[in-house]
Amino acid sequence: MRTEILREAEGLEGIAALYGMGSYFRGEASYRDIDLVIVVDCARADLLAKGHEIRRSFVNLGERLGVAFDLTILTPREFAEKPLRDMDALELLLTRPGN
Amino acid sequence: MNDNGSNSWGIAFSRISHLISVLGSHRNLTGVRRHDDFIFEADRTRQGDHLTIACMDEYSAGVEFVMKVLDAFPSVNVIYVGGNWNGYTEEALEFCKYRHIGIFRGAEIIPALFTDDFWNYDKLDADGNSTRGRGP
Repeated sequence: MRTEILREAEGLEGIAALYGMGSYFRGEASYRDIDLVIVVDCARADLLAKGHEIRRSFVNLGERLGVAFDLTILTPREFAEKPLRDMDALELLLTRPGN
Repeated sequence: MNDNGSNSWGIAFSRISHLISVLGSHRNLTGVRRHDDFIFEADRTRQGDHLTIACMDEYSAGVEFVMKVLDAFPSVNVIYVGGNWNGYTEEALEFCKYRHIGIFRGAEIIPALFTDDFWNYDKLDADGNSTRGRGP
């Protein structure tokens, strides 16, 4: 599953970092969906379209894998705010140099 | 208004039902009605203006999420992200304030909807610092 998630993210431009969180990444046997935090580095004017592209891509991946993805899309500045309750539990899956 | 509908945004009826209760009992709102499962329309008694409120369930609402809501529902001027477990980023709050859109979590929405400029509503902690924009 992680391989497919990584492959999907690597195929999308603008993703500066990708993190996993929640029950799936804690290794729990039962999980409702797969929670991903995606840091997107693009111009504000492009953010909505980029978000649509990423969400659509993971909906398609979810349909292929038979799972649902719950995406939290943040800008680099938002991620730097540490807005999540469990920031320390995030699992880094992908980071792109220069982002 | 109390029917258990369905939506593709992953918003549970328990969340919607809670907001039905909050808005229905709010002393500054009248004519509260619901459509598209999680969108509410209401008129404010004191100000005489109209609100379109999106009931969401977002763990950490960022600018992209706000844009997504507004793209789907352009008339929305209040975004409720859910209970105290949920939140929104400072950047999302700035984005909303600039556009005169209120973004709230938990009980923030109750006092905010009494104020004329609800998008600027603020709540201070014991040290006098704003609690708005803080994550969950």
